[in-house]
Amino acid sequence: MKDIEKETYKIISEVSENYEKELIKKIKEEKDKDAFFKLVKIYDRRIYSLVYRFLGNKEDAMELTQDIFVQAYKKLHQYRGDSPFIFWLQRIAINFCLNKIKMDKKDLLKKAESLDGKPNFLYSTYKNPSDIVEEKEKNNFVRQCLQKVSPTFRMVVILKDIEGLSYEEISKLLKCSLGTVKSRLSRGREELKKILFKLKDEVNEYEM
Amino acid sequence: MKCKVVRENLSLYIDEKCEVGVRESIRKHLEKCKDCFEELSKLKHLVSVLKELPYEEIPEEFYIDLDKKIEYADTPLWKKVYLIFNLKTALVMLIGILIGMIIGVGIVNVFFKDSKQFIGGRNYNHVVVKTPDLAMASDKIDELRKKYKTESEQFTAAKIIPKRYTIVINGNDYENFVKELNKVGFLNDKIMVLKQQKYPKPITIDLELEEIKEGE
Repeated sequence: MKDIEKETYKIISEVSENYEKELIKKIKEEKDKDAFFKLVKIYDRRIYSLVYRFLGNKEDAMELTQDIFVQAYKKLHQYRGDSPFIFWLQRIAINFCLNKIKMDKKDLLKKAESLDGKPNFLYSTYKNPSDIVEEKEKNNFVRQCLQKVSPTFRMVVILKDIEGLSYEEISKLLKCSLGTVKSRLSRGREELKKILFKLKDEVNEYEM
Repeated sequence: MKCKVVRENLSLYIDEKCEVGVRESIRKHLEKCKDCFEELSKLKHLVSVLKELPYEEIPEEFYIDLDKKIEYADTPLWKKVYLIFNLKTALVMLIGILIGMIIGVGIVNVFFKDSKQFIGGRNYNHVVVKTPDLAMASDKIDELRKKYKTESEQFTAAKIIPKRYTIVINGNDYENFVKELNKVGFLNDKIMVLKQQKYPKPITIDLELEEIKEGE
């Protein structure tokens, strides 16, 4: 079983679904901020990880994750409880991420930066291969490889292989057909694979 | 099956989402083709790496800023506007509005003082005369107009429509004019306010005749 799933199940078993429902009810009826922060605590890392991996920038990711939770707080009355809360939250997160990418694309400066040659991290973070066995480094490595994959494919790869969602769930979340999900995933994995193994060769000793 | 087709389907193959026939052909191809098999292992490796990724560490300042943002989201709109315009700007705006109002009132007093009478900022010159006999009342008012007509050309009485009149009279004549109007019909009570004051300047009166049925 995946780490994410393990941890998620652990958290869910700890607080139980009823607890979550109770929190949502409290926020809806009393605008209870404490309840809201308890709810955020359950999903903060999961949503933050999704956003961070998609955007690749720590500051942007933190800000956007906050905005996602603020949006959830404002629109909570629209959540009817017919699908899991995380699913609803992820939908907001995905919309925010895709919008953010759109906005950034308009920013020519950022575009120029992303077109710059080789990634700097190769020569900074990964200079010494003996240091890079830690999980954090692994995260960094994968995240930066992910940034080289085009956003449409990147999102599907994150949702399928990191978040562990099914094809059907992704097609619902992204509002596209199952066929589209399949082809995007296939192309995304292919791109990521090429990038990852190319960089891995360059970094040489890096063990994954 | 060609290598190109196999590679395109590898992603579905590892997820076991291929059709049975396709799956079987890929499996057979992989047994023979070393390159494709290597691609498969790379892909499997990639997927396993992604699956094993731990969560990212959330920055410490995350909750501090989130708290502020939630606080702001809960702030009512008027307060947000208030926050944007600080006290100083608000004061300047208020003084500006006040000055504007004073100038406005000044202009009205200077340029329109002769044509309209203002009492407490409101124009009380609208008079409604209720009468059972319109024709008779109309004739009487015509007489009154001739009698109280001011000399100044611009204040000449003008009949707008048969039931409505604009009459300009001297302020000093006002009391007598009202007395005579009372004989024509029943007046609205606003006229009483004017009665107690003295008006040396001409007053414009919008007069309206309203027919009432007998017995009312």
